[in-house]
Amino acid sequence: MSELLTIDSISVSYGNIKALRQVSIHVDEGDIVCLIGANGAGKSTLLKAIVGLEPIITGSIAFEGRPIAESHAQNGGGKFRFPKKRTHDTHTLRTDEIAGLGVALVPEGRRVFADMTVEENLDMGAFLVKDDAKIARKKEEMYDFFPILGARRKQKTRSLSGGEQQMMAIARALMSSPRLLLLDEPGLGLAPLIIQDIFEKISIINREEGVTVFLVEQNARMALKASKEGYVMENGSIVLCDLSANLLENERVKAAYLGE
Amino acid sequence: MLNFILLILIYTGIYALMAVGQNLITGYVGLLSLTQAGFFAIGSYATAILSVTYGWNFWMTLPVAAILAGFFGFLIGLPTLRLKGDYLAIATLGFGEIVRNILNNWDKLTNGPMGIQRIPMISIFGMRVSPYAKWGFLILVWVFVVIAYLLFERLARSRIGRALEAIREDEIAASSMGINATRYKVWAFVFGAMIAGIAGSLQAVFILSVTPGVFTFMVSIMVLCMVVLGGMGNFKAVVLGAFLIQFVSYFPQLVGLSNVIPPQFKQVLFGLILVVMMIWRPQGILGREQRSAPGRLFKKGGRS
Repeated sequence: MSELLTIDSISVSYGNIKALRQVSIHVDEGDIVCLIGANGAGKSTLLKAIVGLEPIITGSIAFEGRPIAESHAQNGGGKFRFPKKRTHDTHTLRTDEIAGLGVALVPEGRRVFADMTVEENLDMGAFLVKDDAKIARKKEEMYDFFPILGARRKQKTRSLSGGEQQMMAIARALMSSPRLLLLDEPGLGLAPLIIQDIFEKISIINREEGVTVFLVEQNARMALKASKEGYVMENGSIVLCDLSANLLENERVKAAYLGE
Repeated sequence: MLNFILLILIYTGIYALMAVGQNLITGYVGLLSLTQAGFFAIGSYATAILSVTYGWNFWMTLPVAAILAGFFGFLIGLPTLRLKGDYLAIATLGFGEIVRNILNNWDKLTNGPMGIQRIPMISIFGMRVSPYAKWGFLILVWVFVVIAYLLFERLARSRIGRALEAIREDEIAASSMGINATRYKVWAFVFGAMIAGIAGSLQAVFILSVTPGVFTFMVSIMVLCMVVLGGMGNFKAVVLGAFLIQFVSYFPQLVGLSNVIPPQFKQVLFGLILVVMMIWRPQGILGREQRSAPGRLFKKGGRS
């Protein structure tokens, strides 16, 4: 299978603090790959770097072999750069351009458009889709897949529960028919039963729609059970990488993340 | 008395144009900008200079005023849109003051603090629209308001308007939906500036003179007040806000109490209105406009 997302030894700093150190991750097309780690390990920073919300200071990121982010170390990274200045030798894309390539992010904390209804949120998810009939069809698919959203389609999103909002955030991301779905802590702050439900949905999306999934999660057991491959991050570095089934049996993972 | 009411309505119209632009920037994109006075001044001076110094017809100066203001909107938009909230307010406030100071000091072009007098009156098909006979001018101004209202309303309900609202609600989420936040924000700035430039142009041919003293920071504050009082994100409401604010600011003269109530009093009143509205009715008198029925959002002209 071909490699969809290639992260090649990237680093990200916030001022003097290194948030990511030489992180490399490979996601093959059609897989579910997870990244687990404690709070503050740098998991969310990694996702932000993938979608171009954080500049990287070393390494590069490629989607389908096409570079989407490259380090700015040679331009004196961290210094002020005029926002619009783009030269031809750098392949760093803006967040909206990366979205246009088929990378959809379900951000941490869901970030729904709270004052819009469920339906309007889904419309926003399909912002880059020009075909009205396709948008309508996709929305019906989403309502079939998440029946609770269908029931609440005319409601303001702020009136939804946390689990419903998470499902809506996933549905919104799927509206653009992405190739790669990035999920940032889909289980954050939700009841265990709902987390289970959401992970089941993610598996179905992957299996039936063929969407490649890269998910970042603190709930290590859930994430490893749902995924094929797993990476473990500590203090901004990848410390382990294996098939998820093996990681579930790994003594170090068991002690640190599975509470066994 | 009737004349005075007509005067208030004309000023309401001129300021309503600016408020419509401010509403796009503040009400839709959620940017606290205080530049409308600057764009207003640019529009006014464009018309004044072109018609007095170069003898242009008003109708030729009008698009120049709009485009020039829009161009400055673009220039100020690019660097300042990296800023948020109060920082943006300070930066844009600075821009308005810079414009006023340049107009005040560039004697060769603007005649300095004396301003430019004897601006020719507008004529339509050879008919003069004299600002002294107020009815004609009133209709003219309100034709502009209605056109601006319809255009901006349409814009706000289009795909662009939806993108602007998404940016206001959550810029990161919006950009990960594929919305180029910077581009849309700059466009909102440009449109807001253009309409303020047109308002300035109309004001120039109404007063028939321009002086830098008119375009103070208070103008921007008044326009912001109109948007907050009427209701952010609602074009009808900001026109109502424009009327109420103009009515309040001319109230002492209207009831013949200008000897008792000093003109500075209106500034106190505007401040009070902002504070009271923020505490008791932050959504404004009419509140945010409800959108058309879901499902028809992206249809052309999808108004319900």
